[in-house]
Amino acid sequence: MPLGPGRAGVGVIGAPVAKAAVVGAAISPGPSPIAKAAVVGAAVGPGPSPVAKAAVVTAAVTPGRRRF
Amino acid sequence: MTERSIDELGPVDYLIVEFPAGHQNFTGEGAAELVRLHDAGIIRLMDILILQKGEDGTVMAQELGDLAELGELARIETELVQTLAAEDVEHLAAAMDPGSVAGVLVYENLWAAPFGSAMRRAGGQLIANGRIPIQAIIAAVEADAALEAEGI
Repeated sequence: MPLGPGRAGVGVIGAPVAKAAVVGAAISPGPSPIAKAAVVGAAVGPGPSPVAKAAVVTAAVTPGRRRF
Repeated sequence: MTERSIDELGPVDYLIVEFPAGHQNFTGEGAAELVRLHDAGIIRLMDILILQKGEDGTVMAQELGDLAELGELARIETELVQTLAAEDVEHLAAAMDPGSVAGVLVYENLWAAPFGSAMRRAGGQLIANGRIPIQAIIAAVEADAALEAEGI
């Protein structure tokens, strides 16, 4: 379906968009990026959300935790 | 909307939410949450498009007004500034899998505008920003725990 005349003109996105899982894997932190990339990729991929253990979620939201 | 100077504008983000084939359960809950964020002044919705990508890769774009049931979004539709151009559609759809449907949102982060103005007045300039999915943080914590368990 073509969009209306209000959609003419120069775009704002600029380049083809990459799927977030690819971006997430590329910026994965830590000492083992290759191993983590698979984990992060799986975590942000489509489908049901992975069920994180309560302790892990707590660690992710607890103040005062520095990962380096 | 009252007139605003460029210094009062917040950063504008876009996001694409993909609903893969076979995982589409539209109840209106998401639309209601979107309207709530807009009405609360947390964000200002600037544009919404619905994209459908066929199995052959063809992309169909729809405006909100093309949808039969708009629900609470009907009120927002008249306020959209239509930021996206037709040429953006292919770029956005590049991230989609064949057979999927996606909602594209463009919105101003109203909550960030006063802070951004304050930073500029203090001489600061934004040199980078980004988003870390909470899933990625949880995955990193889990990976750290696994490494610790292995004694690495």
